[in-house]
Amino acid sequence: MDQPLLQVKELSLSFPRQTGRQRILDRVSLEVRAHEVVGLVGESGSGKTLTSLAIIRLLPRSAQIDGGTVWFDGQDLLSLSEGRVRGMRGAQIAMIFQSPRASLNPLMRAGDQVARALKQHRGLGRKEAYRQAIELLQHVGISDAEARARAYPHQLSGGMAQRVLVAMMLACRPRLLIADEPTTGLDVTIQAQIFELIKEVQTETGATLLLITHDLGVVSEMCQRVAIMYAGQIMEVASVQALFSEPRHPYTEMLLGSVMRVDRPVDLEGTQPLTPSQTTYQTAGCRFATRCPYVMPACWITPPSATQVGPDHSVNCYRYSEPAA
Amino acid sequence: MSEPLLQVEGLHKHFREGPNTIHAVNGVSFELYPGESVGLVGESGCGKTTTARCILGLERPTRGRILFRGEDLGALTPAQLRARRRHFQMVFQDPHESLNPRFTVRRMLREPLMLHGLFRAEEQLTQTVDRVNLERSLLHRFQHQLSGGQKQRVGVARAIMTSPQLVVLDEPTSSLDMSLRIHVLALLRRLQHESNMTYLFISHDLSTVRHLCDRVLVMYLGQVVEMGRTEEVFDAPRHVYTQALLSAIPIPDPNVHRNRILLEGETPSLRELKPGCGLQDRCPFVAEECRLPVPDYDLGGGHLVACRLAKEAVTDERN
Amino acid sequence: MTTALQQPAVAPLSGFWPFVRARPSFVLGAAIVLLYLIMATLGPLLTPFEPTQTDPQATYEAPSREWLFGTDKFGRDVLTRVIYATRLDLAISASVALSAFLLGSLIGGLSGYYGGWVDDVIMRVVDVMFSFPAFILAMAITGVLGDTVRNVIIAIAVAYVPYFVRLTRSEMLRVRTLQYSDAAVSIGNPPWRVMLVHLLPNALAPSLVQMALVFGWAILDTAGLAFLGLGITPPTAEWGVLVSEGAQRIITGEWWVWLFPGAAIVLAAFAFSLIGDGLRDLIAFEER
Repeated sequence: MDQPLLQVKELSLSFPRQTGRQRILDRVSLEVRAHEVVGLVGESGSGKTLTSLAIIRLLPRSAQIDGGTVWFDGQDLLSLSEGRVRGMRGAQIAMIFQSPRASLNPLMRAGDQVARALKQHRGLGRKEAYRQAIELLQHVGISDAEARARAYPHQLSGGMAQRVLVAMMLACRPRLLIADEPTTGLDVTIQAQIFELIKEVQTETGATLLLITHDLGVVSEMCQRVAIMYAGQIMEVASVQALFSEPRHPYTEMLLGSVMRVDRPVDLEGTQPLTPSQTTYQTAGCRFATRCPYVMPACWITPPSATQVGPDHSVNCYRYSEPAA
Repeated sequence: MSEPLLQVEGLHKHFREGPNTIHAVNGVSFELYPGESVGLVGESGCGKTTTARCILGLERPTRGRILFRGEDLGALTPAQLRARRRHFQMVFQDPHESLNPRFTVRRMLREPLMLHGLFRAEEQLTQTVDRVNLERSLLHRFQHQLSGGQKQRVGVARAIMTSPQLVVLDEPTSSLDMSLRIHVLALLRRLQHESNMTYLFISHDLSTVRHLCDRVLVMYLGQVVEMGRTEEVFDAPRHVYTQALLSAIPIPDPNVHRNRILLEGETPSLRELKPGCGLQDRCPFVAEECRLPVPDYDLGGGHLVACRLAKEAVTDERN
Repeated sequence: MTTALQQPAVAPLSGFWPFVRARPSFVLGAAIVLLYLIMATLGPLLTPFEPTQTDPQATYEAPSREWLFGTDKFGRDVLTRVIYATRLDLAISASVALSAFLLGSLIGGLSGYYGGWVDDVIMRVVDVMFSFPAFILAMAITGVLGDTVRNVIIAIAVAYVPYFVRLTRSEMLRVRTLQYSDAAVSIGNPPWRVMLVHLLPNALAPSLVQMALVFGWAILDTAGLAFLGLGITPPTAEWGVLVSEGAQRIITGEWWVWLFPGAAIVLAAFAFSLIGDGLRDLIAFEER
């Protein structure tokens, strides 16, 4: 209970480029405690998906780990053999990707896929596995589950397909579930349903959830703690309450200022572009320096390490810490 | 009250898909007035994009009329319709797909002017490029050399080249990052005020609609279920679907607690439409009368709702 | 915006040697074709003989310093004949490839864009033509039209037009649904301009690859026809004619009469095939 379930420590990752290696993830550190829901937030290019792929060891072949460790349940996942990691996937750590229909086998019926997960992870026989698969599909809110179980993924709507994935999740009962933008492309009303479902499943199984998203509204509703990433670096980690009421990092402040709410209009003027440019990844120091209104000379030299500014709140910013001499 | 710029009257559009008929749009009527910004919102399959395509003449309506400046577009010859196109333009949804990969930016921007005999000088191009905050050097680039935000702005520039009176924007910010969206919206608003254009803004993202539109039309299963001024519809929605839609949107504020109206099930198929309200199989408040065609209840101030629950509000307002 | 995952691992074309290393087969094919072109243009200047110049005293001479590829049954220098044949064959193939490409792509583009009964009719005609191997079709047409260079070009080109029709049509069907097609309409383009200016250029990529392949196939077809006595006939120097003349000597041992023109055919077809494959990779990369 004291040890976090997942601990990413100083993870750095690079890719080969025409001009040499480019470090994409730079000393990413992140903690997820058992049974909690943590959000990993960033815009495109922030490295949030790469971080999750690194945890589950599904990185593209050209990716190279430059340093750092990923501790899960007392083991460094990065040092395990491929065979050991494969054994953990599904059973211990599972991941839901962005496009549900792309994650399902297009040649297998939905019910069979859930049944197969049950056979693999709970050692059930064929008939029993299929029976329980139908039950799981009903459990995740698929009406007419028997008919749906016979359908192929392309015959299912996006929302249905995502529910099937959640059913497979329930079959595997992983300890850590990573969900990467699970509702991209789904309608808003379906999105609400899926998030309700995920919340239920999480409470029911006690699974730990790492939720990757760019939507701060989703974070506000689903997560207890949240980590903000920008261009491959962690900027701030805080409880949801603290992040929204007392954001410390300049990027977080500006991000919150540019988010549009449906219940309250926001001033459209007076905001700056925040997206990283091509040269951002080559900066030696803090990668937000080019856009930061509070930038100091120290920001360009080395990236700031995490500084505690509250009980569960750390910031990577020289406004709150002394630059190393 | 001035003359309406655009009138959509009883628009129906059905597509044939083999033996099936897809009823994409089923009786949509509304008007757009010069200078206003109107949002057309709904989820996938509600018919908003098809409605827009009919307005722009990219599809022929199955039934109904589209009147632009009083002229029935369906009654024009192809050549006449083409000539009118300089007055209504579209910013397409996907900035990657809507720009021809073989054209330079300059060629894309020059073409609308050439087609309508409006090209006089290079300044016309550079001025528009400046207006949308693009660097002039990008004029010589190809689509694959631009970023997503730049491509989006090229799309906007192309649409305003002929100084149209109506611009239809199809999800212009959906493919952009959060921090970019607000910029594009600010840009769009500024352009509108500079040229007094009318916007028809199609989106499933209600947060952006809130920030740009004076009025909003909510669509479901090919019909308009509610329409009115944006603040009214968003702050006090009357149709159950609008309420469900708004309540489903997560708000980035942990202090706000949501009372979610969850609709059951999924959107029914457009292949077979039942008579009555499109929401009848999913609505938590459904009643017998919902199975019969639902009239529009007028709550005053342009707020129309096609839901029996609005009946009480009408009588309230009348008293 | 592309994420780190989507960016290519190696940049496309930067510098000569990286290019060669990345696409060795394409470069090889292009180099061979270049050699042929040089041979075709400069060759006649370098050889002291004429292709039809006979020397009754020097029939069937083996390759030597005087006749690098030896002589044939009339004492004509084989190398010279091969060089002149290169000119003819390349010219015929280029004409075939280009005309089949232009005509086929235009028909295919129109068919795909406008659809309807015109499309149906065209596709049925194409289907019928496809039921014959191109060579047989070319044979039939040459037989009807007569044995001239012009007719050979027509015959083979017609045989290959259907390939381009199908390829361009299917690309046209695809690009017609893209948003820039709608955009072209919405800014006021008439349909013919949408099809010709906006869509067709984007529908040609597979046809360009096919053109390179057809170039190679046309060489084989021309030679094949000549070998059978159709199309180009002796004493014109054409690779197929040379092989045909040399075929009579396979058993008797005068290998140089058929080997060199035969090798020329094979090498040329091979080179164009490599170019075609390389083009396919190049274009696929660009479109990403």
